[in-house]
Amino acid sequence: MNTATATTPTTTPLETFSPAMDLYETADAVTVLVDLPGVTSEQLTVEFEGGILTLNTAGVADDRHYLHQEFHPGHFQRSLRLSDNLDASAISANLEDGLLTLTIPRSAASLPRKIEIQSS
Amino acid sequence: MLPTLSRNSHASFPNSLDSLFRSFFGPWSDGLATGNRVPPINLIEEDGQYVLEAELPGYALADVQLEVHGDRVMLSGSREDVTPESVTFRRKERQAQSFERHLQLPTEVAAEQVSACLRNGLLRVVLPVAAAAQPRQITVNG
Repeated sequence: MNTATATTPTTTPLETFSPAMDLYETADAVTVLVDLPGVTSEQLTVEFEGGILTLNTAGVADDRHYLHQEFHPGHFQRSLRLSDNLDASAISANLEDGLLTLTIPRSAASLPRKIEIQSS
Repeated sequence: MLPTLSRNSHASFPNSLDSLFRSFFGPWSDGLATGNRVPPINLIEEDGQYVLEAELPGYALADVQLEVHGDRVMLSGSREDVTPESVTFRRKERQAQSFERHLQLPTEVAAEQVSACLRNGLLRVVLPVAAAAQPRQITVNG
């Protein structure tokens, strides 16, 4: 961000960055949009364990000569705790143009149900 | 070796506000200075040319415009809002759907040789240094 970086060509450290994320709810699912520019589906892992969804990308170290640097390509990590009323086993993930879309349906038990009332 | 950005390169700009921002951001005065959220960029020196990278997730090539004049680059774009209407946002971190950045390169570049590709939401622009700005060897006669 400043001129000091311009005159100091260094090997980029293997840092990870938290990608920007939108999360919105609809009646039957939660959708998560994550900006992952430069990331391919082969480089991305999405894991779910102990109620926590974790995204990881396998960026590569680069020793390019940066005159100005505002980001490190391809190094992202982010975790997200999922609510119990979501069905983590039915997560769908789609990565297109560096934008990841995760759709997590609500579990059947948490969806509103119409209860039949029986008359005696 | 290409010239690197220097602290003095902004000294010729008369506008005092511009100069203030330039002293913070070097010669990169653009949306950052106005508080707008803009895609981050990198400038790399590679094989005697400049490489400009920008993070443009969710953008298609048709959504991005690039203009090069001398040592000035203007990058702008707008992406489709993929969010359906009437949803409840719990987080909203992704930046605005349109942006514009103005950059000044350390030297002039050959605008007619500039090439750009957008892959997986990462823009890569190759900017060959203009012939007039290339370092030259001067023979000294003794």
